[in-house]
Amino acid sequence: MVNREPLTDNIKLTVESLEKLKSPYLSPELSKRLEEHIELLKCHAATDELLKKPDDFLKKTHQLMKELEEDLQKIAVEIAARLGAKVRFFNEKLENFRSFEKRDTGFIQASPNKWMEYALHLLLPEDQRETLIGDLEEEYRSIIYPKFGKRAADIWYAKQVMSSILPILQARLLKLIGWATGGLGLGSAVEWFRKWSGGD
Amino acid sequence: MDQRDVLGAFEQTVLAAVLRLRSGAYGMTIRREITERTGSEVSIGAVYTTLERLEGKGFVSGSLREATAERGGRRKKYFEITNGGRQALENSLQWHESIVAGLLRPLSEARG
Repeated sequence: MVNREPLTDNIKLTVESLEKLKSPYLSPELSKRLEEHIELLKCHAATDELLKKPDDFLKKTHQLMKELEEDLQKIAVEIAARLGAKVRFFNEKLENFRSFEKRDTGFIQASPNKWMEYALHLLLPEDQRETLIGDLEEEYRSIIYPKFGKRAADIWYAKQVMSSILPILQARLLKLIGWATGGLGLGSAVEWFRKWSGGD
Repeated sequence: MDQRDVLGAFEQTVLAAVLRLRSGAYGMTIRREITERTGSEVSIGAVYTTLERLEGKGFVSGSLREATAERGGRRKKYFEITNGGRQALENSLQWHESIVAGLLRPLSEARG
């Protein structure tokens, strides 16, 4: 007569361990197989306890355990393969990031449209040319181009130039008007002084 | 307070941006600060003409500094708010506060 108590305990322990193996990494096929093993083992344990089955039943249980061992090996191989795939995936992402970084340094070489730059150059007073064009170029190269690409960066640059025309012209016009009215005022003052001092 | 001491809306915005950015205020950073705070895109030309006007009034002072490769070897002009600029900004804020004072409740009541 075989002592069944340790076997039943072993089956329960195995069932517990198998429950822990359930993982999203397993293929549906292996998950299903695992479920089947668990159910069968539970059934065998229950049967073993309740019916005190003879040795042939234990032989079946033993066979089942053997099959399970084989499946567990498959599971281990599959988990390793899937983890490997994950590691490869992250490595790939890292490589992409590195190549993006390399590309990023290449952006320094990119330049905005020369005609747009020339239009600004013509519009701007001399003291603002260097700083304003430099600011636009810095933003174009360091922020807009890396974030949105060349086409969007060129459109952004053109929009900046177009929307800058009006305020720049307005400021220059106001300055001219200021000089003109200042000049007229000075002319009138000179005329008045000439008359006051007894000139022609 | 004289009404002539009150800054225009965009002048206030630019002056506030210069104040916030402290030592890092130059054309690009000022433009970006305004865009981020207000949520609307402003042109670099508008920022520069306003800065020029504020500099003329003595509210900001500008100094040319380093040139970098990203800027095509062009120098940056950093701006700092002067004491006069701080005073003007404070006056403007007070002016607005005095106008708005007591209006928020009637407005919300009118809305129902």
